[in-house]
Amino acid sequence: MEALAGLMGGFAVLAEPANLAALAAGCVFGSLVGVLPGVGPVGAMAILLPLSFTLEPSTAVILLAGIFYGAQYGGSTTAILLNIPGEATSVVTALDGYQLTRRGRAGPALFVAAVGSFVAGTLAVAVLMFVAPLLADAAVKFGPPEFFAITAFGLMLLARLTGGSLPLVAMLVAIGLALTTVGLDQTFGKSRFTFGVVELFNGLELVAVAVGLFGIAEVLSALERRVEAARPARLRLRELLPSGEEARRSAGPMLRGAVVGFPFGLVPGPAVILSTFASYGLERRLSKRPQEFGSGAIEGVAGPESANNSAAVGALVPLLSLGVPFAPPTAILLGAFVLHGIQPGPLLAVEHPEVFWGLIASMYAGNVMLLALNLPLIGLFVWLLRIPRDVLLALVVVLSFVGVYSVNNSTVDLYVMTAMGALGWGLRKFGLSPATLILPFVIGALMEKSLVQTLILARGDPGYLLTRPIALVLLALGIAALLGPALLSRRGGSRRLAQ
Amino acid sequence: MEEEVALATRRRGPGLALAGTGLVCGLAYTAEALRYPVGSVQAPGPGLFPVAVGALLVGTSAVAALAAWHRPSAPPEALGPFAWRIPALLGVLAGCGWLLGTAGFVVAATLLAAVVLALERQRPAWAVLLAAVAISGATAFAFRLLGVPLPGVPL
Repeated sequence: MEALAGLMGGFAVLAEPANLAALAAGCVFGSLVGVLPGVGPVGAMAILLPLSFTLEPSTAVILLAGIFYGAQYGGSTTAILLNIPGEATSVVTALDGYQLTRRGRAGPALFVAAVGSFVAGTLAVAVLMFVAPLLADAAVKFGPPEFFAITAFGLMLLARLTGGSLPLVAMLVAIGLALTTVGLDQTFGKSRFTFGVVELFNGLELVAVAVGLFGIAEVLSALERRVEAARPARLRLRELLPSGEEARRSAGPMLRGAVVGFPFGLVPGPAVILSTFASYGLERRLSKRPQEFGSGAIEGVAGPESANNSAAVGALVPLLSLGVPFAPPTAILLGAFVLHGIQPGPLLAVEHPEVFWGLIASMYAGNVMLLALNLPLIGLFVWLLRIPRDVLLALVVVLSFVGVYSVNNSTVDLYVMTAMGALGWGLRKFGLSPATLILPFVIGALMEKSLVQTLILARGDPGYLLTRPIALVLLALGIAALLGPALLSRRGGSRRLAQ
Repeated sequence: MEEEVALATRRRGPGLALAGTGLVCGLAYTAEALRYPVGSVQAPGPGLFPVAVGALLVGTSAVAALAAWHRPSAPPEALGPFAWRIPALLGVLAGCGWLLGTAGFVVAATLLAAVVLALERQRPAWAVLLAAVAISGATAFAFRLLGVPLPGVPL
């Protein structure tokens, strides 16, 4: 009942014209960002973050969140029409979506993707509405040991779940933590790694790091390659409706995608992407026609598109209830909260109910808006894909340039953005994800503060952790997740050798 | 045999270079971190966390180097046909950052947009300049409309 009362209050906040306008702008811009390959939601949110200075906190958060989940809707458009995923979360959608386009069923594929996103997104918000306050109530009792354990657990899980060489990924996590130590230390006020540069006293700017790693790095990758211009076929609105059989075959995957996706959002790292693969694998296993997967199975579109939207909403749970972002877009949202003097965490719903419930209400309304927008505006999105690549790249670079500069009016931030752009480009060359750097960068300060406070509370007593069972369990789980698979495979290898 | 050794070296090279870079950075970072008061476990100082992170960076880089030596992973993606554009754009970005303070936003952004357009080589010089001015002008207008102050752009 409390949740429903809060939601009603949230809708009252959303009804303010500025918030409705921010929701519409965020949803449209997010869809555009999702449609246009190369410009991801993280870069877009980071560029717009400085613009949110002039907005009320609830308006700013509604705008940025709209871009985040709007991009999940838009990413499927190019995946289905052109076999070019607009977002990494639409890679799996392209497998069967593009095949459906080749069979003349592009419209139904787009329709099913949009409806699946809506169903899963709405269900996920309903779960978020109850789970986040519950977790927040539990987290009020958390102290520095628990918060240190949560951040350490998150980073260990991030290192395990990110693909590739574990030592290299762990190295990246360490680099991300190292970047967070630049500037004035929060506990002691000591200036570290600033080398006399006054602009670095407040640390490396999140917007500069994020735009560099995600936006500029993407531009550099695009400039390096020769890319053919995309020429998608024209699509009429009346060609969008699926047949009875397609609708029937999509219903189950949509609901299963919603259930499968949400828990992935609670996990750090590329969880939203992982949710799409998990959903695709599940649908293929459950399908009576598994041989159709990869050749145009509608379930291969419905399931993953539902899962990615559900996971995107799930990713908000750790941020809203614990104040710890486990995904790059939520890391930018954390930046927005902090910029407006709001600390997300267990007390967010109590101290700033208009922000918390306004955001949740906006997600309900946003899902409806995105469903209503994405289908009629498909023609516009397809037309936008014809924007010359050089113009799009120049626009992204200039927007990044002005967006980063406008945060602190500092040219040092531009140099940081440039350096991060080079680093992000280099990481992609080695198949490493920039998310592995940005998450430790964002939660590193909380990790350090919690660790220092824990050590002070413990006063050198190693048994102190035994009095904090939640922290102990989280740390043990993190270590198990990190080292367990390696130890198990080594034991399996020894057994095979012995045989 | 020599060919195998050469192939193994080529496969190990990039991974070792990456891990080696991490190791060097880790050592430099830790050396700087040790200049700050570390304190003790009972009474930590501002240098404790950086030293711990530095140790983590050095340790993981060393393990990554060993892993690259014994089990070389797939080589990095080859440089694209227009790899020269990378340092060009990075240099212009840094240069325009400096120019922003002296010549103002419109000049710096126009130059930046013009360079990106010119790098793609899809249109003649006059079209590049026109498009660059349009992009920087529209961006300046939009940001000023939102109340964001930009150097050299009137209120």
